[in-house]
Amino acid sequence: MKIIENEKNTSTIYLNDINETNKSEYEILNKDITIKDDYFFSIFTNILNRKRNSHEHFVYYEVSNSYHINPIQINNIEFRYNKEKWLNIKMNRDRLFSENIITQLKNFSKLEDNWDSYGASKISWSTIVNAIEFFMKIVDKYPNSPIPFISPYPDGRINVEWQKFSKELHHLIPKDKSNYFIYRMINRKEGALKDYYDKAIGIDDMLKIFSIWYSDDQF
Amino acid sequence: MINFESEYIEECIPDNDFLYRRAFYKTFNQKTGKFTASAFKLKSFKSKGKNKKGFSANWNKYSTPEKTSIDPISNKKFCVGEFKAIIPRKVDLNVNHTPSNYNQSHCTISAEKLLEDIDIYKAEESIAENCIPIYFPNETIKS
Repeated sequence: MKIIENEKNTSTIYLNDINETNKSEYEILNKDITIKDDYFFSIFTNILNRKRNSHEHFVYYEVSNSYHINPIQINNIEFRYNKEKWLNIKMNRDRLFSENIITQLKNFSKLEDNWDSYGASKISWSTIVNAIEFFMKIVDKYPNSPIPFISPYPDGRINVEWQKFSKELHHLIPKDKSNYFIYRMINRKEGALKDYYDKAIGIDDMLKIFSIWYSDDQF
Repeated sequence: MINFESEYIEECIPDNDFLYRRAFYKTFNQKTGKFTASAFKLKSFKSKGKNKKGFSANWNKYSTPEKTSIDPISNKKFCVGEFKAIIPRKVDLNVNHTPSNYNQSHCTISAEKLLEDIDIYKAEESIAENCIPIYFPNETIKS
């Protein structure tokens, strides 16, 4: 990571050692993050990955709109960001998909315990962050992918249902992205039902499953 | 069979009788016209000292969709779906009438043994697919 001090108390941080090399630029302005590119999301999730993989990187967020997310700090640099701003930024990219998904995830984050009247757990921020990372990776790779239906799952996971003609893919998004995704692939072509259940370990594995489902006519 | 915790007698629920289940409106997928598996989560509970997984529903013999839609604790209104008792039984779940003094229609859908996560999801998906959404309170239609 390289930090360049600019005029007027601003700094630009280049996260060249993380993915998205040329695009990963954003700016800290008066300790509020100003995003300069649409790839903030992937940077953000990569930052979270680093936090999980290494003890020396600790990341800190202080949220200005009195909404607190887990404290995180990277290389002793303080980041402050506003939840609404963060969410809005993602809305600028692949707008239709993101707007729909982000709005729903935003609503899920407001659910309280017992939202289903049968003792459901609220949806944790880690699940929401995993969900956003997963969906953004799909949009990156498949810009024309359908918009999924998502619903909160009573143990704090998120349930996703994709539909493409006669095919459906249902799966759960776990709280911890290294954990497994349970999925179900369905094909109802010409009245015959093909139904397949399995587990995918982690986001990348689930992306492969999505890719098979999306591209393969048989599934 | 007499349930000593309840003044009501436990009865056998016929396969073709309907069971009602409350569902949060965000679990209703308008495209498919079905509730998702989220509405039928098999949760851990203890019964007679045994760990089990299951969920509650109301038997149509003693309840209505309107009655079921109201959460007795918060008084909030929810959507309601109905499915035949045979649906969970087809995926090896038990359907038992478990009335309480407060709810004669109460029944429990449960697994005999502790299932793997993937089997739980299978069972929930199967019930979701065969459940007919029958009641939507006005406030959920607006949202």
